Amino acid sequence: MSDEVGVELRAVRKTYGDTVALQSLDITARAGEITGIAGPNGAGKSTMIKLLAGEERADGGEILVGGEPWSPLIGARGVAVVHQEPELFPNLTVAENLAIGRERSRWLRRGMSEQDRRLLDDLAILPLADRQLGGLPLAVQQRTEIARALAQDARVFLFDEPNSALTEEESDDLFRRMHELADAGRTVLLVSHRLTELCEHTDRVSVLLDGRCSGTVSGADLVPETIARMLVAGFLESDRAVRSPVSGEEPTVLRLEGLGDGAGAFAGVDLEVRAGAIVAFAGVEGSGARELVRAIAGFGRTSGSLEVHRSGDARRDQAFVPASRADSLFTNMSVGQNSVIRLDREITGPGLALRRRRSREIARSLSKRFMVKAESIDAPIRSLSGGNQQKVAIAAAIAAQPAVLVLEEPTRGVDIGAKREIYELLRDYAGEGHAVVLYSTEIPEVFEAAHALHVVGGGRMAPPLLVADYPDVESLAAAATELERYAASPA
Amino acid sequence: MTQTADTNVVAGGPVDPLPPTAAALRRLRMAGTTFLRVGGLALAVVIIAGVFSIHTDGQMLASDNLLGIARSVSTIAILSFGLLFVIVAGEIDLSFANLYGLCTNVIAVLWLLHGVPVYVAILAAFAVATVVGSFNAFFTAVVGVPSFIATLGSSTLIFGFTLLIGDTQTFSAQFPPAGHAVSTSQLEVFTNLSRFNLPFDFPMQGLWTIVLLIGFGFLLGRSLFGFRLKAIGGNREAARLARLPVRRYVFVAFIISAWMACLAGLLDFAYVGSASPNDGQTYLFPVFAAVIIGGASLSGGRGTVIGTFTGALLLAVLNNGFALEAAGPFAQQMLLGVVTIAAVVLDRFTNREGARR
Amino acid sequence: MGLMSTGPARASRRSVAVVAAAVASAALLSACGAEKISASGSTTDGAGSTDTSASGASDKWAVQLRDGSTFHLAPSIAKRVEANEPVGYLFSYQSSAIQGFSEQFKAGFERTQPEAKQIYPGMQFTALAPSVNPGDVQQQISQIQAQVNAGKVDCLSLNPLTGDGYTQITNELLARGIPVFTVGITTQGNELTNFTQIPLKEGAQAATTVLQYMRDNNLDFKTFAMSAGDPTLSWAPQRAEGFQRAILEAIPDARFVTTPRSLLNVSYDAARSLDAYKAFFAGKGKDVQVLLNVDITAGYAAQALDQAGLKGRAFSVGWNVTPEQIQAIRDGTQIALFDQKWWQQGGFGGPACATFLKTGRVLPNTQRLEVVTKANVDSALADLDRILGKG
Repeated sequence: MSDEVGVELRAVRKTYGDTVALQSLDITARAGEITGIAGPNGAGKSTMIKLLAGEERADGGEILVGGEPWSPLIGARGVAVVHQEPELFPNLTVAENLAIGRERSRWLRRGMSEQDRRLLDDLAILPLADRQLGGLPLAVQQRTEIARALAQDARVFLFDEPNSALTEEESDDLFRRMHELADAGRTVLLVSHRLTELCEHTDRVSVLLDGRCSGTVSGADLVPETIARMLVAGFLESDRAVRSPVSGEEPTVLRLEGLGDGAGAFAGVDLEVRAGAIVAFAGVEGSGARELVRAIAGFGRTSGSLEVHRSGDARRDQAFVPASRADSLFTNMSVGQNSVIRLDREITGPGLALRRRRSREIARSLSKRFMVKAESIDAPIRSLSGGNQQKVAIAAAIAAQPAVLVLEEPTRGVDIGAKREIYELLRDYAGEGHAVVLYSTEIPEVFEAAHALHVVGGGRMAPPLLVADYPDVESLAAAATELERYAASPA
Repeated sequence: MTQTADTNVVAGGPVDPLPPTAAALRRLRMAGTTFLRVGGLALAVVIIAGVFSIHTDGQMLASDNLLGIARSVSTIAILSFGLLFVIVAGEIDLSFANLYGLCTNVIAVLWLLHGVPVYVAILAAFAVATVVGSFNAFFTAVVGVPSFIATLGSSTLIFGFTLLIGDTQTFSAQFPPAGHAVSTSQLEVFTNLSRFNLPFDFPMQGLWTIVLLIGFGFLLGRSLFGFRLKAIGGNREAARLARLPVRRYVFVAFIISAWMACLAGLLDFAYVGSASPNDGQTYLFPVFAAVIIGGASLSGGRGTVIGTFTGALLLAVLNNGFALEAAGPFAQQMLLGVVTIAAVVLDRFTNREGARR
Repeated sequence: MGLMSTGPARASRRSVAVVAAAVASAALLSACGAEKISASGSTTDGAGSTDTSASGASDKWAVQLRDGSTFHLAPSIAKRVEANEPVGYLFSYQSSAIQGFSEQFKAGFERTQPEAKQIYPGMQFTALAPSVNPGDVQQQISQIQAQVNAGKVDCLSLNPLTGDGYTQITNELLARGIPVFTVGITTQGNELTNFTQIPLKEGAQAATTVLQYMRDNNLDFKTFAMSAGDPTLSWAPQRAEGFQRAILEAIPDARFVTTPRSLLNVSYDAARSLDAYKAFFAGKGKDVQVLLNVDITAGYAAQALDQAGLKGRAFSVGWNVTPEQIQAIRDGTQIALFDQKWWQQGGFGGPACATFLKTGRVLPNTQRLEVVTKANVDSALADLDRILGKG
């Protein structure tokens, strides 16, 4: 181990319009070590990666790579990012992916250089050199990405949630390669949600919160509990909802009986949700949680029964807000138009004519109720910050007055202020006699917003954890983790 | 908003933090984008008309010639109204040009060759158009074939049917094939579709265009259908997840396009009195040009009927000017290219003006 | 439509493009097609790959070709002809999807079959064309190739889309001993006969007709204009050129509002061309006395000048038989139309092949442009209806 500094960020600042992604980030990663980066969604991890890779430029501060100030050349050649979903050319072969951009002549050469051949051999993917990349497993694609970085002699390797879709065996292999890279004197950064892995494989972990580094742990302190505590730091106990458990007298709004997925992502789900309840589903990618929530929203082929009873002033059965705003907003429309797009009779007069004044009134009152920060309802939706865009997306769904409001990661990429406002709006909506169903990947989110948490693993839904039973986030997180392990194991 | 103690920690605040003037300004700018577009095009039309007018000693603006333009704009305008709906829905329709010819031939064959009453023949043509529109929509929205390919295929298929039923003959309503007679009352009704005597000699086809302009203007700009169609064209996945009736609307858009192709063919047939298998094929490019020049986005979700009409008018004025001047074919093609590219550049420019980020 | 017309296609840019396509297709042909031809030749006659090996028995069919070489009928064909066995005749034309044109070509092809059968009783007839408008060089060549490879072609009548693209296949087939005639457009190759009109002469004939009309009616035309459906096709400016030259010779102070290089572009669409004519007569063409459309839409020029109140002062002249032009001639708004007799071109190959195979005699190009004026309009129309089987 050397004390050589591989990457250093000093007071780095980055804003997107009104949204502050990085306030003042200081992080140091040493060469020959694996440095872990942890942080909740929206803490600034992806912004940091983009800055290092050169996809974005910082607004302020300094980035040093190997002691030199960051330059586009260093960004392009010296820093390699291995993504969750490799960003390569799926239509080319492994060898071609390795060669592209580094061709030494204008003419396409058949065959690989000896150097490339050795690289692929080292990574155990030489036999696949002539296969089209798109048809190969993710792990191979990631190795190709690593090979590509090695070929251009990158000094810094940034792994962004690299094993979220890998099998255990594949991810063990990946970690082995990370250690090899570090042992060879390279700087390795690992961004991950999985705290156990971070503690197991890294030399130190820096925690990002709200666009700054809230602390770094190493040595004996490097245990999941410490990091977990740091991650939820600043989370005030008073933030949590007053959660009188939903009384059994409230009418049932949603009832699932033996619900199963056509593609087998989940099976045999029985559930009853009463008016006023906010129910969260959690589970890693592939657990079936996401699919289950989409099925509750009415998408996909399912078996079993799903009943929705409209209670209160509900006018529609379900309304769904997907996680990605690319799938929930219409960029060709204004803020106001986006917020009333799901309405029909509410905004039409005779002959399906739009009642423009009425729809503007609705849009304006929604905008007010949801505290959307926009110049006016006529502003293009793209001119809003991420948090405000998300509020518009949720406002549009609530405007439809569904009996069951279904949301996928409702606060992904949203700053903390907007998060709290969104949780409050969800609680309000449930309080008006409706059911709210969430798919969440963040335990603090569940802790703050939901009444009950269902952990899903291996396509099965565990019995609910009542959030009110847990005194703090940590204990809820611990319980959820335990359930997850239990649910994922074969019965 | 009652449960938590520190709700107001976050600066939620009122909605419009900006002074009202700024908001009004923004609104003005938003409305201005469309206005600028149509206004700019109208200005281009006036300038081109002016230049031609000077070149032709005022002939361009002679009332007879203006009435001629009012007629000749109608074919492209009606076809492009139909195409506009498909393009706003985020799809492409390449089949309308050959459908125009299929419809004229269906009418001609049934009416002139088989003696079917012209009213029935026209209904049959629109039934055929409905089938073609549904066919396009089915392969696009249900099977999932990209509409470019689906309609490229159906276009060829349609032309094959035209050749099959018409046997490459040219039909004339005034001079029916030897051995066939046409009822004069039917002929009169048919001809009146495009040649009815209106006050001031205003062309009947111009009136059709104005009626459609208003009707479709309402449908796309002021109705729930238009509102949702733009959403569907703007973001198909979001529309699906928001439970908008995506498939149904795609069907309707393709059927509108097919009907307009049929109507344009019918009116031209009534105007000139003859139908042949190659009818309509040369309209493919100008109609796309009119829609694009009119400000519709090929990626869907954006476009206005009035803009499209102005685009069609620009092309009609250009064509008229070229005929007035008898400029060579090279100038004609080149100017058409320049206008199309200029319109798209203008579009990018005004678009950037509209969006802040 | 006049697409079919005649003459060398040298100047037009379109033909340049087609030549490029044809060169590509020729390269393709030489790579695989030519091989196939010789292969099929050897299966049918065992000696088809040499054109000099023809025996004395086939001297009857020896023909001096354009490039100086001599054509000899393939021995296998000669043997069959001498034994009075059936022979295959193929008529390949540019398109089966062009209004009027395709209909007349097919009718002509069918009409002359009895005549050909009388000369050569065992003749079998096949007609093939791409079904796209205006045609497809590569597809048409492939169609011919397929038929030849199947051993079904003992004599070919070819109506090319453009001349130059077909030169190679024409010469190759002739070299293999298969007789080739062309109709409409020459390939500039070795074809035995090119049965066609010649655009420059057509234009001159149009001028003669107009001048005759002036004398007969005591008129003094000074201002002329010319239009085309697609001015970029080579024969369009050539017809216009022939017309202009002949008119200027007779009337030296004649004024041409449009020239062969700046023909009024009216398109082939009925409604569009009517609009174009109306605008033209309101603008630059307001003094025009004779409008010559070198294409099919002159009937709309007549309607337009009638609507512009120019009837009696201005006249149209055009090509091909259409109901609108017939009506205009009857009404006196059009002077004449010129019938290229497409059906004759479609029908030429049958008797020509039968005659050649039977006797070795090569039928010459006897095609004449038929002038249809008020005097003969009724008989001309009746003739055409009879040909098309509508009479």
